[in-house]
Parts: sequence; C-alpha cells; structure tokens
Amino acid sequence: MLKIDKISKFFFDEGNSIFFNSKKVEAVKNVSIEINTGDTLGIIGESGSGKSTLAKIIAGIHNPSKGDIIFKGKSLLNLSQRQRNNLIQYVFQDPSNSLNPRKTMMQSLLVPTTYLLGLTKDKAYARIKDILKSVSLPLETLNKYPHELSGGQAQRIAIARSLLSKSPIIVLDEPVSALDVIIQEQILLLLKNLKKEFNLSYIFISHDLAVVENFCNKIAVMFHGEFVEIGNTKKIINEPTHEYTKLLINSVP
Amino acid sequence: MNVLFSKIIKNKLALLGGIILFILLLLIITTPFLNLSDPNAINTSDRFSLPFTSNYLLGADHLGRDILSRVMWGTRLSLAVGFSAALIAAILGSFIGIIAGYFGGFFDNILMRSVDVLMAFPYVLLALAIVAVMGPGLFNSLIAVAIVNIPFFARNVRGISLAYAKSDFMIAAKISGRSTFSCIIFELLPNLIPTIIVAFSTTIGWMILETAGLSFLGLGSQPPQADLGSMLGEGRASLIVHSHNSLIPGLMILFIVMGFNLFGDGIRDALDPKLSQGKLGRSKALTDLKKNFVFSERCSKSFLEVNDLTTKFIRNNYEIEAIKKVNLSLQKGECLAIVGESGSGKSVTALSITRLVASPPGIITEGFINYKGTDLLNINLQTMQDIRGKKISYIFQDPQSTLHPLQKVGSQISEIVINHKIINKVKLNKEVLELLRNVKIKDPERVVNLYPHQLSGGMRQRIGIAMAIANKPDIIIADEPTTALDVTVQAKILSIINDLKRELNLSIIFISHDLNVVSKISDNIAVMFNGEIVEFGKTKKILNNPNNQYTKKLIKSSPKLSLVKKKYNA
Repeated sequence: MLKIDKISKFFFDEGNSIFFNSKKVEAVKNVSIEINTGDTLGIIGESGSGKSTLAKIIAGIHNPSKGDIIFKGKSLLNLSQRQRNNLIQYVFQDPSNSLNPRKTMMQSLLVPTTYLLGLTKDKAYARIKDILKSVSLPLETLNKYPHELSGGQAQRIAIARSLLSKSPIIVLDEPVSALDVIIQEQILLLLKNLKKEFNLSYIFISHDLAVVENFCNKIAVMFHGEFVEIGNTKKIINEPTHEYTKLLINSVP
Repeated sequence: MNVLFSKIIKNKLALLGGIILFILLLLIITTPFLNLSDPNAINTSDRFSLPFTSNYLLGADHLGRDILSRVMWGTRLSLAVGFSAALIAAILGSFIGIIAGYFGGFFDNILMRSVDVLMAFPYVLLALAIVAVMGPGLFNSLIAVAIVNIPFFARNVRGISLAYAKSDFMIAAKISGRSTFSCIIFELLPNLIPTIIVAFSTTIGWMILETAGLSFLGLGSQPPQADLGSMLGEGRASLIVHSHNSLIPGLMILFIVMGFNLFGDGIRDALDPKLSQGKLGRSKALTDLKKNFVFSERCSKSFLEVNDLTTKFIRNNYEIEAIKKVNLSLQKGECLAIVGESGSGKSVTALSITRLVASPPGIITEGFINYKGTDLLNINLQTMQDIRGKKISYIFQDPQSTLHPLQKVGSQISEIVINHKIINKVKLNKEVLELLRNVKIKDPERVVNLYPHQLSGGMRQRIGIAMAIANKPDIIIADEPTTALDVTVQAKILSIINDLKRELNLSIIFISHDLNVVSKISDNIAVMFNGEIVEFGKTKKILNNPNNQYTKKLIKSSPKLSLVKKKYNA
C-alpha cells in the first residue's frame, strides 16, 4: 500500500552560515520499505539514529532530500499538504506538548474535521463524539484544557485527533514513552483495538524492543540513518543477523 | 480572568495604579460635559492668576487661559496620543516579531537587522529626527514615538514566536489541515497575547512621557492646542515666578505615568508564570522541618533506617502530602530499589533523606532518619554538608543538567574531591584519573580536558557516577540514572554501577520506574504509590510473588521480551 523508496534526508548545520561553510549532516540514508494494509511496522533504533526524522518525512512534516513515497502507485510528494494529511496522520511522543495550551479539546479536535473533512459544525460534533467513544473518553473532556488532563488522557485526545480524518495510515512517534507503564499498556491496547475497528496500518517508532515485539508484526532496525535489518518480528528477535540488532536484544533489561 | 483580576487586586501598588487610572479615565470621559471654560480663550487681564482665585480654580497661564480647562483637555489629548502610539507600536512590532520568529531564516535576518538599526539610535534622538523630517505636529510626533517603540515589541514577540513555531502543537495543527496563515492567527497568536499585553502595559507610560517630551520641545502639539507637554514647555519661561503654570501639568504627567507603570507592573506580575508561584527566591540549604517538630527519641544502631518520613509541599492556599509515613531500611553493601510511577514520591523520598527538598514549598512534618546512629533530621547544616557528597552522594537522571557546562569535567570532579579533603595537586590529578578508570573510561587523560557537551549521554552519566564515588561514600542515591539513555548504553551503565557496588561495598538506593531494570540490580524493592510504600521486600519475592494489587498491576504491565530464547554474542 505504502512504499518508501530510497528516502534520504540531509540537514545543513547552520552554525556558521554567514561564511557558507555549513556542514552536511545525513540523518536518513537511502531507506526503503513497504507497508501493506493492516501492517504494524516497528522502527527501532537509538536516539539520533534518524527514526524520528524518517517518521516526520513519511507524515509529510519534512520533505525528503532524495527519494519518493508512493501510496497505491501514486507519489505523495506531488500531493498538497492537506491531501497528504488525509492519507497519513501522525501522533507525537509528548501529548502535553502536541496540544495547544490555550485551546480546549473541542477547539483542537474541530481543526481536522473542519480543514481536512470540511464538515459543518453539527456533523463535526457528531463525528468527534463517535471518536471520543472509541478512545474511551467521557464527553466532558471536550471542555478541558491540556493542563487539566493526565498524560494518558492527553495521548488519547491526540490519538482521537489523528483518527478524525479517516487516514488509513498513522505514524506513531514514540507514543507511549512519556507515559507510566500501566498507562502505556492501556494506550497500546487501545491502539490495537482501534486498528481493528478502523482497519488501520501503523508505523510505530520506538526505542523499546519489548514494546515493539508485542505490538508490531514487522520490524525495521535503524542504525546511523540506515535500515540495517528488516523482517517480521519473530525472525528479527530470534535470528538477528546484524551486530547492532544482537547488541540491542542483549541489552534489553 | 477572575484569577488575574484577584491577583492584581492583591498587589497593593497595582491596585493604587489601577485607582489612579480609573480616576483619570473618569476625568477624560467627563471633560466635555463639565461646563469648563474654553481652553483657548485668551484673557490677558487675568495673566498668571493664582490657583483658587475667583474664576480660576487652578489659576491662569501667561495668556490668561484657564489652566484647569487646559489640563483636562490636555490630558485627554496626551492620553489619546500616547495610547494610539502604543497601539500602533504593538501591532506593527508584533507583526514584525511574528513574521521573523515564525518563518525564521531569511525573513528573520532582514527584519531583525532592520530593527537592530532602529535600536542603534537613542530613542529620543531618533524620534526627533523623524519629526524633523516629517515636520512638527501632533500626528507626526505620534508616528515618531510609535516607530521608535516598534523594536521593543518586535524583539519580545519574535523570541516567543521562535520558540512556539517549532513546537509540537503547531506542527500538529498543520497536519490537522490548517494553512500557515490560519496556524499563525488561531494557534500562535493566542499564545502571544499575554506577552503583548505585558509589553504594552509596561511601555505605555513611557510612551506618553515621550509624546509629552516632543510637545515640550515644540515638535508635538502646536499652539494654541493644549497637551501636557506643550503646557509644560510654555510654563517653563515663568517657572520661578509663576511656578503653578508648569507644576500643574507636571503633576498630571507624574500621576499618569505612575498610574500606568504601577498597573502595568501588576499585570506583568499576574501574567508571568514564573512569578505566579509566589515570591521569587532561593530555596534553603536544608529542607524546613515543621514548627514544633518532635524528634524521635529512638536510638538505632542500624546502617540506614527511615521511619514514618512525611514530606509536604505547602503553598499559600493548599498543601500536598508528597510522601506519607515512609519506612525503609538499607544495609551496608545492599541495593534498595524504589519503584513507582511519576509523581508517586520516589524522588521526594530520596531528596528528603539528606534534606535536599526545596524549601519553600517543601517541609518535613514527621519522621526519623537514622544513619549510623545519628538522626539526619536533627543535625545542623555544617554536619549535613559533611555528610552530603562524602557519606551520601547522588547520581541524577540527566547529567547534562547537573554538570557545569563551562567547566572541564576533570576540574568538576576535582572540585568534589577537594571539598571534602586537603590534597596536593599531583595526587589530586592522579585520583581524578583513577576515578575515571573506575567508571570504565578507557582514555581518562583525554576525557578530563573535555567539556560536558563534547561527551555522549552515556559518557556524561559515567562522569556523574565518578563524581558520586569521588569521596568513597557509604550510600549512593541514584535517581533514574539510566532513564535518559539508550538501552545499549543503559546496559553498560548498569553493569558499571553493579561492579562498583561490589568493589567498594557500596549501598545503593536506586530509583526507577522500570521494573525490568530494577530486577537486574537490586536486592530489595520498595514499591511506591501515591506517596506511600505499598510493598517492601526481597526483589525475587516481590517479582515472583507480589502481595499488593498495585505491584501486581505494575508487573503485569511491564513490557518484556518474550520471544528471545538465548543471549547473542555481539
């Protein structure tokens, strides 16, 4: 369904831009992978390995320096921002930062229904109510501000926001690493249920192999900007071939 | 809004400013209806009439015009001009700031360098130059004052826009379908309003003063029109003999500016989140004890024993019990893990042991901390400082924030060593290198000369550990020492801590939210929930056979690698 085709991303170190001797940093190097309908692809790697940059490129937040992203045979790079956002949504790591501190949840959730779906207020409200039920939050939550919510509740709202637009693919960028383990388990369970309910595909970025193992059916191991190993979960964990993957598995406490 | 209002009311000076402004507002609104005499009517026979004479309540000026009437109309004009200037400066300045901060790069460079050019001239000189070019007159002086004040708003707003532009919620709004324009207006602007209001309310007084200044020099309002500045200018000629001519408009200006400044400061204090927590101040070197604290009379010979320790956070109107009647014990050479979710009181427990909880708002209300026969709650600062770092030391979660960014790591480690003993330089250097070797740093001679930012997270944490063991302490309290690290690095740090524990016979209190990590390193586990220890016991027993409901839930929720069957030779 989604094909990531030889994506690379360079950044230019703007340190001394006045003298034009900026350094080229390669965050993502020639990365390719395919995601089928119903897949949950886990991308695992250490901090600085480029997994978050890749996630943002897939979600259309950054543009790749090279390569293409192809959805059902069509290149996403030629689509408008809104068309892309209708196909791929994104959930941030820290839910409290991804919600505007001066907006109620209702105001935040109305954004995708208005701009991506073009719904009128009545219809938007009905849709928000439905989704809120799916993420198991009470209706009163809509009148609250981000600081009035717990981390788990805020992440549920962020997930609800990504569901509103009916995108078939959701990029989850470390969605549970800021949460306590008990909440983490609840959110992962919720994500599994939503996947079935809405027939979603996930791209799940994480540094936690144990979480990836029980959440994803496919794993890509990222190291220094490259995929060093791709395969289904069982195979990667039981028969790792790359040295870094082995080290990673050994290090899990 | 109500909170804001009550905060301003509570601030007595701001309230005074508010009252002055309210009276002024009342005056300028009612001026047209007060049946005052014509402010420009000349009546030379009454020149320099004194205040409180028959027809003139505040006297008359050098042309016999009624000063009361002129002051009232002048105040109206001065306020209107000052307010409009501030408004124009706020709108234009914020616009520039938002564009520069949000788009950054090229726009930022062009706009902010232009603003810097504006700022390079002294305010009044620049205003004078602008009026000189445009010609004197009230409207031109208004424009001059507005232009001069644009940089202030632009720089303030730019800084905050810059921080918000890259924030998650702005990106989230964008991928929810908002256009750039709508992002700026509906997502960014609401977050900038408080800053703009604060900047506005603290500068408006100053801007009224500037317009008055220009009028005083004859560049603002033109005769016969009265504004406070021009009245002051005209009164100056007869300052000595007929002082009331300049004194009255001068006092008016004083009231206006004072009113605005006091009120403006009040608004700033109320809106600034850093000040909203109460008084600014340093926390004390020792956490406060409750008044009439009852010291335990128990005498224990055990190594470390914590009994019924209770720490509260008290703010003006509420108090929270961060930890409630915590009981712990630790033997020599043992590792005790405190596990719990964020906010459960793990760190407060750790900090309370050497009374490092920030005070205010922290306060210890009850308890007994026995360390080798002394009650740590019942000693003075001097003794406590000898214990901290020498007997009981800490490793923190993020060494990036605990290491001094401008000092080489070597000198930071030596500082800890010399704080607790006298030692010559050669020996000191040797000792520092030895410490680095202890934490498995392969080339200590190179590392001592590096700054913290030149090291990776794992290396920085090793430095943190080296500092903690520098004085051969009995107890190390490690507060989430591996949480910020990658798993591969975490594994190394854990093995370093484990080795040190064995070699130096250290006792460790290891705080973590991760049961899997804790199971690798601890002898005992204390599970904390809501400020209380809900279960305490041998690690194996707790992990395999937990009693408490919460512990069971915690174990069940902890993700574990299940498929892996063997260790790999990497």
